[in-house]
Amino acid sequence: MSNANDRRARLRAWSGAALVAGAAGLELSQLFVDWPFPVWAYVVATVAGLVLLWRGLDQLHIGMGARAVAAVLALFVVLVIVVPFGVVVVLGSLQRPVDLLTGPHVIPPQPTLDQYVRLFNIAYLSEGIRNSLIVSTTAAIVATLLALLGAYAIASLRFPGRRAVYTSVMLIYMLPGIALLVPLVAIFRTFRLIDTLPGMILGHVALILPLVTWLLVSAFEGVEPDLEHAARIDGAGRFDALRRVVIPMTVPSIATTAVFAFVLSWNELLFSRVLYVSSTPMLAPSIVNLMDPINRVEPQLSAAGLVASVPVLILALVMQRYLIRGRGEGAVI
Amino acid sequence: MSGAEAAVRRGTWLSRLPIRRENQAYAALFLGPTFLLVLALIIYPLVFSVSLTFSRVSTLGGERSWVGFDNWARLFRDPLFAQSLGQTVMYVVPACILAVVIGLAVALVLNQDFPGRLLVRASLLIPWALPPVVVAAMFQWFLDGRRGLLAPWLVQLGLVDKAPAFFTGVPGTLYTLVGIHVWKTFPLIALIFLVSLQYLPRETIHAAQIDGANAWRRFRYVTLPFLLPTIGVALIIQLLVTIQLFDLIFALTGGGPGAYSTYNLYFYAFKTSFEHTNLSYGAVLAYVVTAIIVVLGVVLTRGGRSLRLS
Amino acid sequence: MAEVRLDRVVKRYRGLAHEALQETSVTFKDGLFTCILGPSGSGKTTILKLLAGIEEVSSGRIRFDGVDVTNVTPERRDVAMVFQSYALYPNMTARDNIAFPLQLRGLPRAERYRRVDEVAAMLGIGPTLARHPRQLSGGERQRVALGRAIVRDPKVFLLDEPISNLDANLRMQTREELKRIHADLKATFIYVTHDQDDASAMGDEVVVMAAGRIHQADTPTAVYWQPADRFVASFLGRLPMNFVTGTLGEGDGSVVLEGPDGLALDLGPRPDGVRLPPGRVLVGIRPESVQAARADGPGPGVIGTVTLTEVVPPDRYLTAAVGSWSVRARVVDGDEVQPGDQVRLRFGLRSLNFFDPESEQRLDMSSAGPS
Repeated sequence: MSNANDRRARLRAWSGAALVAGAAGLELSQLFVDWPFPVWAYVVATVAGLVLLWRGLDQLHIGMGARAVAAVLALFVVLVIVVPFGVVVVLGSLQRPVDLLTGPHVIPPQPTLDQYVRLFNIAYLSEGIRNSLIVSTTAAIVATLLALLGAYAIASLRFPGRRAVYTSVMLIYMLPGIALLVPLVAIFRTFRLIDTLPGMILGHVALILPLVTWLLVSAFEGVEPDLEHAARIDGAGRFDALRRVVIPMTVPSIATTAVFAFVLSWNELLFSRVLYVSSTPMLAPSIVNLMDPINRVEPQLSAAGLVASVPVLILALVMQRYLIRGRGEGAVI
Repeated sequence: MSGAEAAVRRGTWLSRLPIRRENQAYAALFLGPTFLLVLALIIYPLVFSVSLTFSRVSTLGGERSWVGFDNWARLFRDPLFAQSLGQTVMYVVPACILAVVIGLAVALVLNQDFPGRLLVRASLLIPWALPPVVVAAMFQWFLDGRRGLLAPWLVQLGLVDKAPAFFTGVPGTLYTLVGIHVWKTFPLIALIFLVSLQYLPRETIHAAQIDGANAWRRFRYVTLPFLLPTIGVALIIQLLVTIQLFDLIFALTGGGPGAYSTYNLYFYAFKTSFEHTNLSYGAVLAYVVTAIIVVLGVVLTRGGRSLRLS
Repeated sequence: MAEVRLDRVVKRYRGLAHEALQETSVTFKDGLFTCILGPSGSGKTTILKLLAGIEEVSSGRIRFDGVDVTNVTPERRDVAMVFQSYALYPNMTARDNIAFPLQLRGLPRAERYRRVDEVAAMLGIGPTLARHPRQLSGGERQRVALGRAIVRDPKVFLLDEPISNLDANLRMQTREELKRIHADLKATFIYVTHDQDDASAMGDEVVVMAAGRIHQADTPTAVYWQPADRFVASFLGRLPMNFVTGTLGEGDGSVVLEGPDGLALDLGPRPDGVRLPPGRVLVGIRPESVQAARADGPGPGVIGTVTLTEVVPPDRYLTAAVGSWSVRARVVDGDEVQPGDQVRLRFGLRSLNFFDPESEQRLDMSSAGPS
């Protein structure tokens, strides 16, 4: 690799980077200043810049061009994901409603935590948070426990109809909630479970149980069968083998599945809306309530949205190492 | 006492059963609770709604009369049914194509090794984890005509001439919902592709490079064929999810603007049962949705599997 | 000590046409070290799983010391098993792994750990006890697996190719240790392997299996020198056995085997008490029983042309063509033999194995037996 080639490659790379940065920068600055360039000019410049950057870097180090361009594009992806949330929900919750009359702002001119304080004065919101916490946590735990036993049976026990049970788990998961809802309401009415927390928990468990079971079957099938055999030969009965050997080995999968169950329950809208009449508001329907033009105060909605998002975001972040598994580890997703 | 006899003596009563019975006993014990729950809260409701479809019921506990196939026949005369069905397709087709294309592109990007890659991968979880109602509320403000930020940005960036009306156009609003739905779902699709890509043998790519293929050719002749099954899976997942789209419609448009421009079949079933209180016809609609989903799900997964085997 | 018996046991797996184990009756004698030897798919691991109780028999009965355990769940059978993959519990230390069976039986911790230390001393793994399996080498893991089996003092020891993953030196060392442990514990050892060196080194008895069927159960020497059929004959032995089909005739005081393409092998005089089977026979001859010497040397024998030479220490072997027949032989005289040379091959009647060409079963050659 001669020096002249290297210099040319570096020139290419730098000019490419300059083009991309320049085009993007100019285009963005159009938010404040008016340039006379048409849109397509920016697009062409950016694409050309990226190509130059790629080619140039590739000649310096094999594969580096692709990586650099990927980094630039990844930045774009992150912006698409984070900007709406960051600007609208996070920053938006800090705005004063009166400031919104002067037009949209990205940065709140007079940020205030007022909306968060006010959240707790709205009964159905604070109750909604409380109820959702109780329901989702309980439903996640109950569903995971039941699914654990069931999944172990499907994965490790031999009984007639095992295949049928496994396929029916999948089939039942496919059923849309709307198909069950009306008769379910009828049943709940009969047993006076409508508008009660236990009823809500029961409904949520029924909703998430098939998927949770299916996930855990995959987790258990990943355990080396010899280990269970060894435990049984050593003298452990089924329950002991499950308790002392299989479960300790699958704790990450079980925890991840429980988190998944919690997220499913927490985000759920349809059942939570229908099974509630007056005394068990849940968080998701309460937020819909706030979106009604009659009640809507944007910053307040954002604050409520942020509070509703924090638990699931934290859980997802904590478990993300397990949720996105790579080769040879058995992915949950 | 000999060792063999002493051994046979120990254990809980379940262990004393012969092997086959022991398996079955534990299976019954472990699957029992789940089975009961499913029977009571899923199977029975399904069966019960069949009888609903053949009656005329407006409120539960109210008058019930047998009307045979009347409710089912109504499907064919109901213009809103046809409209909802058609609009469901209008949701599904763009959502599937967009989510898969964008998801694949993002997965390819994230497959490269650059600093901060894991951070970007983690940020993909945000749209997945966010409650749909929060996403709805977020975009409601973001895309608002007067107070939202995206509209003025688009104008100032020169991408459009005047502020687009995201929530007041027909059929524009439906496509706005598609866009929001894609925003929420493309990360999961991207992750599915990302996991698949990790199984692509590096040697095949190296061989292609040595053979002189550039990046586009490598993608077209090596990566893409490898990913075809995953594309199928992603399409199926997105299809089944989008058919059941409910939260965004309920929260953002309530079916409007206009009379029914953002209805899909699922939402129509909900409205019929719970707001028009026509429980029997609602049950019929719900069954149609169920049938579509189950049939599509089974056919597509079976078809996908046999395609893969061939 | 326990005598382990399989009585007409058959094992069929769901969805598979052929039987994993054809109707088999065999007794593993009390206190003996029995090796089940066979290629993969022979059913040897199936027998082990049936004995452990982790698979269910399709028909037949299993008895330990006369007690019918066919339907008894594994945890109540009091057998110990060492798996090929060792199957150590990853979330427990080596000490807890070994102590696990005792823990399940309700022994107090002090007592458990005492026993573990005893066993660890016997196996030389004391320093590894505090570590987890993933921190141990292959050999150490194997000993922990052994320790877990030994600590319960079981009556029956099942071992599934436990040393096949170790390197050659470790394997030899472990074979000696296993024999020693067997002598100490006096339990019934049932050891499954595809390696005949394992069987000859450790086995008091060898059970040779293929395709779900037992072909022969006998001492290691009997299995080697008096194989019951063609499969056993060809499976045992480091070098492939020579086979030829022909008819035996007697003339000039010598027994002659007439083979294909005019092949005539002089086998020497007929010994007393040996009866020649009539009709066609399949003859198997181990290479070490065929002696190759210089062609111009003295003695009876058949002349052949060398096609290949090889060294299998401590002997040299050559492959020679006699007409259309290719035979491998041991060089007893003539170190500098080259391909293309002529050699004289001698066969002794006593070292030959005679089989029926169709059934491939061993033919009884003594004149006292039935014809």
